[in-house]
Amino acid sequence: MSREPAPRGVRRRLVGEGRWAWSALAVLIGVLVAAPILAVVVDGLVNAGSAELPDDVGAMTLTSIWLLLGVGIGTSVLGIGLAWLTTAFDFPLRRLLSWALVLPLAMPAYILGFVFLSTFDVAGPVQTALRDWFGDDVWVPQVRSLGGAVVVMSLTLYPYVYLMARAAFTEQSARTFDAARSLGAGRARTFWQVLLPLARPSLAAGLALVMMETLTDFATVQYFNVQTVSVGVYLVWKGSYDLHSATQLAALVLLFAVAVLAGERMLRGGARFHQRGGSGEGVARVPLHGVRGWLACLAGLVVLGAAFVLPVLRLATWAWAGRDGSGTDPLDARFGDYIANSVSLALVVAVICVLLAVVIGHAQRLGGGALVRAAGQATTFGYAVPGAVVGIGVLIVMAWSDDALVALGVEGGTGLLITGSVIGILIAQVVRFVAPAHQAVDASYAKIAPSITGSALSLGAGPTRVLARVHLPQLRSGVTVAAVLVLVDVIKELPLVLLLRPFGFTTVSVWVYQLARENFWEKAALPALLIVVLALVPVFVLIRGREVRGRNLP
Amino acid sequence: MTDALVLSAVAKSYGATLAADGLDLRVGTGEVVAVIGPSGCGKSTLLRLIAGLERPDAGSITVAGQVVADASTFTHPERRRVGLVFQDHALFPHLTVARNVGFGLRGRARGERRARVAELLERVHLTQRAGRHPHQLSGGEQQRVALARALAPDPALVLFDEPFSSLDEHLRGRVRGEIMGTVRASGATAIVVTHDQDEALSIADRVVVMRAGRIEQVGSPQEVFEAPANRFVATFMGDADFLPVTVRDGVASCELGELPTPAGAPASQDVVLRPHEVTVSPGGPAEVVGVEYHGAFTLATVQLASGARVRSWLPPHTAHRVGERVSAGLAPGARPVLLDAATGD
Repeated sequence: MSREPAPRGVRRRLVGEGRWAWSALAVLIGVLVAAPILAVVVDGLVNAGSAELPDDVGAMTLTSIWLLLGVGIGTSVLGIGLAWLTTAFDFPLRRLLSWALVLPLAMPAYILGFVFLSTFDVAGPVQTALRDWFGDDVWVPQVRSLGGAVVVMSLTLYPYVYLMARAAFTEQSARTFDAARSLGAGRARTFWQVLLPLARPSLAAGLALVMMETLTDFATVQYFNVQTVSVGVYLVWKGSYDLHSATQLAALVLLFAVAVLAGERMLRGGARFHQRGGSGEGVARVPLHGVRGWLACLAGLVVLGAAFVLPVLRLATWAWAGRDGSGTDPLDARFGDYIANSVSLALVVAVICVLLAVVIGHAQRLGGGALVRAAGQATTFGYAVPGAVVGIGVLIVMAWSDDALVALGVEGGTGLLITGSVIGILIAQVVRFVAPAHQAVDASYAKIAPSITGSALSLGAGPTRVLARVHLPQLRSGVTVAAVLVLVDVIKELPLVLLLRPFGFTTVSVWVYQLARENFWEKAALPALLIVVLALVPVFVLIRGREVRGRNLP
Repeated sequence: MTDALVLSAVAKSYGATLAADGLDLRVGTGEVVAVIGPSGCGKSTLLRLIAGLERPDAGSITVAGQVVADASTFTHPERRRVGLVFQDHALFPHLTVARNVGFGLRGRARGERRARVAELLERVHLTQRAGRHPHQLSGGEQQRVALARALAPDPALVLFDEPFSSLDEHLRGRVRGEIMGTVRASGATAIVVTHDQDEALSIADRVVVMRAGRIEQVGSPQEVFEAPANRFVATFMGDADFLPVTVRDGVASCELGELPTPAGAPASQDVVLRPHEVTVSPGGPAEVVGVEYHGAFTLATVQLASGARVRSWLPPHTAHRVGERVSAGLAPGARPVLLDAATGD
């Protein structure tokens, strides 16, 4: 019996069943977070061709491409290789290494960069020793170069690929592997022909994260005299305060980002098999005996040592040696001020981000429909897009609102001189970091069954009471994780602060960078250590088994 | 007395899927109605529409004489007098049993609230558990808390969404008895969504059979089982086989013999045969093609001379083997229903 459904216009449920106030709030947040990125697109298109571009924009583009390629290859080799080593083989210290290899995530590139330079540059201990042994004309590669930047960024960013690859390798059931082997494929062939292609979507996601981080950076690369497009944005803005020219370059960075996302989609293909949720036991590990076992162990230790342990030791040594006055005095008033700046900025941003995340989560839970879902998606833009784009975008939006206010007759507009105000940094940081907060809160929301919400509503509790009395108590862990992630991210963040800070406003990260650029290693050591230690907190949260804090690329 | 619930021409679609396609239903006060249908038939959507968790595209919903949804009004769930009991119980994990039950009593005086909570916990025999948290309770106890919580604000209507399917099989019957006993004792009007035929037939005053967003039949358990409106209802509410009916001289008969049922219109009709209405005796033109032992009875599948198959419940200790020649007949006293062959599937 098939009756024709009555012809009835299917109402488009853009607005959904939710409560208009909550939905409207969520949409507003989505629009505000997406606004800076849209602003770059709009302003970039409007002024295309008319704004002045630096002469060497072609060279910058090429340099960016080479840097992306180099870091992509470097992180792939390190990340995939180490993941395969620690999932498919057994060797001494494997268990320790398999989580410790994530630690370099806590080492910002702008810190590893200066430690690396201090060690390998002309005046550093390595070249001095080489000259002592082989005479003054011994050939050493130029350290302040693209190659140096590639090495440093690969060492700090490979954990993204490593984590994704590890998850992909362990998710795949041992049976896939066994099936391939029973069909006569050797272990190596199985890796190349079965496991690697199956892991491809995850690897693509990991690599996309790496590329975005690479595009975001314009501090580290400056140690190495590498002029990428992002560096161009910074130099143009700080050099001439010409917003239109800076926007043109920011739009170019955005193009790179879009290309990366397109590349990720392509690499992933139609493939969705990484989400199939394998049985999770992974392949059976093969023990490596004798020399081979120790070689495998050594490989892991070398990477871990170079990317994390040795730099930390070196920083600690400097900080210790600096007690005599050449280093940062922990009681130095400036140090205290900068820490206070960093912490208060981080606290404000964290509170705002968590609030926004909870509002969006609640609006979605109340059944916001497609528009609210889109707003939730829009909040991830800031995280997926390089920092220079966000920074310039915020500047444009602030300039626009100034113009609008002036046009409305408010003398002096918002009074926020776009050339620098802490408000700008604040907004940019919120735009950038609301995404991880949203994801943490969202993950917590997912654990509250919709029937709980339904029950609470049907028992007469309005949306606000449901949030306060039923949802929030159950969201506590998600909210805590979100706050911690954002706090640490803000304290670590360098490029946005550099780009937007008003004269005289310095945070710990900026201070480290300034000291490092002027080769005051000892002075930079203590604040740098502080940042690394703080950054370890989310890494341990992650290691403790929470899901990879994926930057959910849209 | 006003009806507890009136649905008229209620429609709801998700994209191209019609989850509710012009639903009409009246539920009297104090009535227990079971809604049954295959998964995806729209029975859960029906509950969500009544509760206010979804907004209908068309039609109107009236709860206890008050219009809660039509073209111009929509009352949010917190303002409807509708209680909900979910399959997963949906207890608030951070609140004690007493606080769960008291959640819907906001706005009442403290003493009154406490008395009401105590009364309901007494009714579901959980007074001893008042200070526990939900995770410290068994599945059956959680279910009773969920019921007490839903009943506490004295709703006009309590909706149950597959309330017993998360319980172990051996627990289910007992919990179901307790819960429905409490519902009956409190005189509450209840709508129970289920996919279990036995459950629907055993707990309800009336059964609503749904398919593809439409109501196929509404009737007492006896009616939907013994007089199904169409082939779908017949097969969904129990095992059923169909044989073509011939009418000669006003007497209807099928391959099993003459039917006691008065023949309706001479148009082509099928007879609905339930296994308990078919007997099997040794020797004859039919052949046993399948035998399943079920403990209390044995289900035999018999292929008739025409090639059609019917099923029969054999009493204990009557053994027929596969391949045996038998004859099938109509059980004494059976009054099988005739359906237009065109209806149903």
